[in-house]
Amino acid sequence: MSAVVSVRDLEVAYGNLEVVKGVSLDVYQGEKIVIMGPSGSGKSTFLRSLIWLVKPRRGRIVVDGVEVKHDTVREVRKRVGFVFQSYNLFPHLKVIDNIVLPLVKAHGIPRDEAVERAKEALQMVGLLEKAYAYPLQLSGGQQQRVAIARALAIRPRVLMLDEPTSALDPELVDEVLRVLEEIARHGTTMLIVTHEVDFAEDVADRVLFFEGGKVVEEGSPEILYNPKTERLRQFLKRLHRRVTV
Amino acid sequence: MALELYIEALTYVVWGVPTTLSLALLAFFIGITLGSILLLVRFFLPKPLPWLASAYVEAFRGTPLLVQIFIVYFGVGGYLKSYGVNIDPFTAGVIALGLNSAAYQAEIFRSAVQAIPLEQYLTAEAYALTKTQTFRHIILPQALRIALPALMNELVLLIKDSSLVAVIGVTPPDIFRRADYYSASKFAYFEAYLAAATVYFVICYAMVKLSHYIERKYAIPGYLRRGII
Repeated sequence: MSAVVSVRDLEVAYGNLEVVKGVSLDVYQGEKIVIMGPSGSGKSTFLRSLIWLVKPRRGRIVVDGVEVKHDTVREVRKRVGFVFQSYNLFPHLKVIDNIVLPLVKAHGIPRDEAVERAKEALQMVGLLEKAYAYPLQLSGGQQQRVAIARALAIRPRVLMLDEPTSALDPELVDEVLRVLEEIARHGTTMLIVTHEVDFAEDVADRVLFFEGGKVVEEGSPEILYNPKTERLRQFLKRLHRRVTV
Repeated sequence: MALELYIEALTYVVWGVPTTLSLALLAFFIGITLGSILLLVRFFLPKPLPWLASAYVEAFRGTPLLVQIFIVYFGVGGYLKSYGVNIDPFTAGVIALGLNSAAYQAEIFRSAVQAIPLEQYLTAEAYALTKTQTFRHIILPQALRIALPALMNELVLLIKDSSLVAVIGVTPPDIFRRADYYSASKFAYFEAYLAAATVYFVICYAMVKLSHYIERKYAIPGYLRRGII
């Protein structure tokens, strides 16, 4: 079986600062991969660099059979749904237009069809009634669900989520996680950077633990309870302490 | 000060409003056009063109408007005259004000575009929009809203600065030149210039109110603004 996302020896740097130092990864059809790690470990940069939001310095990325290069990167982006930590909706556009715009402009889908798709996606995240509201009129959790709908509407081969609940108030986290669990059940291939241990245990097929720009531990969600490395054990301990306080 | 003279001066200088508004509005549209071109040059074209655009902005910001008006009317105008091309004071005034305003409007547009968070560009990029699409559909609509108060302020400045064109003898006379005429014929300097000030104030205040109205009308729903009186 060929991988939906295949990464080889990826290196990313901001000037002289090396952030990702040689990461390889294969993500297979329907797989859910959770990436964890302390801040500054390079996990967000890694995810962003997969579609060249940060251009990698070295390495090879293949998404859905297409190698990411200058002349293919737009094509690759059309097959990836990306969700940002701070939602990043376009504030001047109504919720529905946030979803319709990429479909019409980037994917060349006729407007009527795009509106239908957008409504379907909003239905999935339970926000159809907010279709004609503006993003800033919604709560953080609702905005993030719209951002997820925007990603789903392009019918991505893989969904990438960069800390989708980290910017949310604690009581808003659950509504977003429930939506993500639902999407996971539909068999969508997902790459998720998150600190939500329970969520990772529920949906992840594999967990990667990043530190210092490298994957230092990798395995089934079991490693979250039975870490092999001291680093992951320490990290989980700190995370646990934060949650219980 | 005599009240009758002031009122008479008002009814006299107010006929300068069409010239003043024509000067300011024409210059504003030259400014908005050329200013947008300067912005596009700075954002989209390869070097050294953006440097030239910046040089233009600095040249017009760094020299007095009155000097620029004289350069256009007496300098360039005088040069063209030797080739048989005549530029009248009104045209020279509009060109000088327009070129000057373009520099400031380019700066207004630049700061408005730069005020859009980087994440908006990244998101548009992630969703496979081209650079042009991103600019047209994501950046420009937000930047225009940010630029609006400053643009309206620029229009107010132009209305006031158009009075400088009076010194090259603009015809038909603008508000300020008519105030000059009136003061000279009646020896009523205070009344004449106070009348001119009154007319400028009324126009500019109306512009400010219009600006506030447009700002509210096009405000992004849900965007919380700090209340300003």
